[in-house]
Amino acid sequence: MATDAEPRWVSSLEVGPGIHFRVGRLDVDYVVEWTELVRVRLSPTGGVVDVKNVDGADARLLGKILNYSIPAMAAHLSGGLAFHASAIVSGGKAFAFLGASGQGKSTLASALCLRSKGLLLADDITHCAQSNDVWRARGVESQVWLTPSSQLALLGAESRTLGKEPLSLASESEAPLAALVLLEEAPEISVSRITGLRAAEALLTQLIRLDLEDPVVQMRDLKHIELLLRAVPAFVLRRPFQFEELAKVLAIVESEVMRP
Amino acid sequence: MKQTRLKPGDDIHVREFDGELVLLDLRGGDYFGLDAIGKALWVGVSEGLSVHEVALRLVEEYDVAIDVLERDLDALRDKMLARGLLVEVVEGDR
Repeated sequence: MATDAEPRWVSSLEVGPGIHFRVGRLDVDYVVEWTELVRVRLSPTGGVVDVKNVDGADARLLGKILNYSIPAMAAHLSGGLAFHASAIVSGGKAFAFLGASGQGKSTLASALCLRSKGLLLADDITHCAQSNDVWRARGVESQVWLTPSSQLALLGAESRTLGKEPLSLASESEAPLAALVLLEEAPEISVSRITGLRAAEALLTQLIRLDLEDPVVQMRDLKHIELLLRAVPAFVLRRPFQFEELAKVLAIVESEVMRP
Repeated sequence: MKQTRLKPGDDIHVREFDGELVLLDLRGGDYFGLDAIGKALWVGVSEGLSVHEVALRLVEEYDVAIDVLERDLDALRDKMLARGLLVEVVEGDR
């Protein structure tokens, strides 16, 4: 088995009760491990070389890692940028909404899909890569677990029948990225363009990266963020976390970001 | 006579974002942002200028007393030294 040899661990982080996430190197490959769950070996270009589940691992956690985390890491290694972001496609253009967990990415994206007849491209992780001078966005998850509020926004009364089952995303589509929107909580609703350090900080904060002591990857990420911000406008959307304000939020996003 | 001057750390990678700088410390992957003033200090130091010389350059652009400007630059320099973004090098007589 390819992962029988012990990697040289370079970083470790406690990510849950009794669970540590660590990253190591084995020859030229990367090895990522969630203790008590799974160890995955990735090639330098993001190919999955080997997956070894721990016997008796929590199936739900394992599913999330294999559906979300590993694809995001693989996408990162493949040369693009993976962000904590939801994304939709509307009018042939992709719009990404960046924010940490709990910032309302999924709710906003799913509600926008409903309002603008768009497609949900990504629920939690959006991969951005440059192709022929165009930055394109795509999802890396094969399934999404929408929160009840997101289900309500996206599917209305039909959400009652969904329970907690995962939903399938709208195929593995991708689209030219038209805007990046950082989500923040604030008492009043506003949208403003951000540039320079503010924009760079927003993207760096939401960048999903392997915690590696690899200068080549680190420099590449920063260069890609610079190129991305030169090509794609970035905004910050401030709004209260109140469901009754959602219609106003959607309207301002449409007018200021999607159809300026 | 020996004297010290500042220079960017060897492990610091820099990229510009709309006139501001992001410094990447390759030793740990940490990022630091420099606004226009910070950028002026970074560029000046990279050119071999002292903090005083950077302040003289900046005072022509900003409506601020040179001693205030120099004090702010000193504080920024100290923070950057503490984080290893800038390092001091000792030079002998030429």
